[in-house]
Amino acid sequence: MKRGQLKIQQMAFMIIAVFVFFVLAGMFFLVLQTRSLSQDVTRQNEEQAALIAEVIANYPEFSCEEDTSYCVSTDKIMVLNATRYKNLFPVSAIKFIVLYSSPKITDEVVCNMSNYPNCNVFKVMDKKQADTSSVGTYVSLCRWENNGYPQRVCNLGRISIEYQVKS
Amino acid sequence: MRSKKGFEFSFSWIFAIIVGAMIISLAVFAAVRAVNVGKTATETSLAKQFTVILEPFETKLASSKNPAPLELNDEVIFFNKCINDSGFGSQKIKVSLKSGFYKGQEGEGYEVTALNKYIFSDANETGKKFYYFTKSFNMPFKVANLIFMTTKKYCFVGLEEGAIKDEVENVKREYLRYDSTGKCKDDEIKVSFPLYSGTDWDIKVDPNSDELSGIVTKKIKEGGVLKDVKLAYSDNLVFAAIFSSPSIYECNVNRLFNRMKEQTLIYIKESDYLNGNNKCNVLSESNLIDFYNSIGTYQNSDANNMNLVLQKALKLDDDNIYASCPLWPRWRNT
Repeated sequence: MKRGQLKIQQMAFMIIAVFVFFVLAGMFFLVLQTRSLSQDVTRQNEEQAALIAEVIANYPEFSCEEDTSYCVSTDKIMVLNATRYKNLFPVSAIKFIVLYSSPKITDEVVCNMSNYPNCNVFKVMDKKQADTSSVGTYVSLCRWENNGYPQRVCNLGRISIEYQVKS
Repeated sequence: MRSKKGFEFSFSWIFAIIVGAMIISLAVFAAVRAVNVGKTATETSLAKQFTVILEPFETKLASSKNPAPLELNDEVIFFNKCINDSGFGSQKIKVSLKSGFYKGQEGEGYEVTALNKYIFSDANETGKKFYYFTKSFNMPFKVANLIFMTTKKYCFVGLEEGAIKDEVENVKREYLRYDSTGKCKDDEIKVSFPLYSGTDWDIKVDPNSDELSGIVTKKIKEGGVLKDVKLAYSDNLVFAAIFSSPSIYECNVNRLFNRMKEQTLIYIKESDYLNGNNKCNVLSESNLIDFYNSIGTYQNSDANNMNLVLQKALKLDDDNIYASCPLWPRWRNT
């Protein structure tokens, strides 16, 4: 091989190496960018879910009939058309869980019209998304009962809001 | 024959220059793309932040009378689009940065969808400082909170004694003032109420005798011609009509009426459940069904339909309060 040819070959290798370096550096930059973007999306989803958890009890569709804060009417949840409300909230799932009731229900019993009020989980919506995490807050879960006279019965409950985690 | 005076370019030089130029142009292209992606990501994130920040204002918990404005580091254009579909509709929010690092660059971020918000603003709002406040919309039960957002300044003139005058006079807002002399500054939008006799207004409010409803007339430029656009309102929708573009107003009011219809269905079923199971005597189903049917007649800011729904709502509010267990708190004292 002539000396000139050798030099060209050297340069060609050098250029390929520089090119590969730039491609690798670019890919590294892209991975970092995507990861930071995914983290941003997850952080914003979490922030939004936490804010929704704070305020959802005061949405007219859930709030108690009286003008009180952090009081959810389970009578309303039972008659709410979950399909219609599925897309109103930008979260993966919304659940209301009875934490303390009398008599105490130990297992998770999802509420429906046939077992209400002897149940402890009210599923408002569930988009059945994968990779979710949840945030929540405490509320009063109240219903009307008639013990000879109309009476408000309230239990301690928890709102659970699930949101999507981007990986 | 070889020239002895000419400059000789060896093959390796030519090769290095061509490939070098290719690498440099590739690097420049990648850098430009990275900056564009960065701009789009910042704008999309900003649009999402707008929807997140406004989340608590959906309920009475955060409905402060005069919340601090949203102040941004750079000037942005805020695009507000309203979609009224078969569900509850949505608002598509988009932001474009106009100053700072990305100044002079075309394009805007991706749209962020807000499903549970009713933001009344112009279709495009430009500025660094976004003023906003909220009011609930009741008819007769609470339907949702309305969010009013603007970057402009408003001057109200000719206000009669009443709720709007109290609102404007009692809460000192940087972007909203009442001028009893009827003289507004050049950079202010003049909103005229019945006691003002001049014709130099930008927006005119004509309340009905019930003081709960009325018509807002806005002067809108369409194809270089100034046109009067009339919007029917009731309750706090008067602020919505003042602060938003007619198209945003019509669309959001339709969305609100769709939500109201769905909420009435909840009350119908709740009434059926509570009365049927002897839990408590509440408003009868038939009253609610009558109201539900009247909502169905409402279409695009039609004043007659809005008044019909309003009258039915006032009657329903009276009937509700006399039941053993009211389904919602009292709205209006008649």
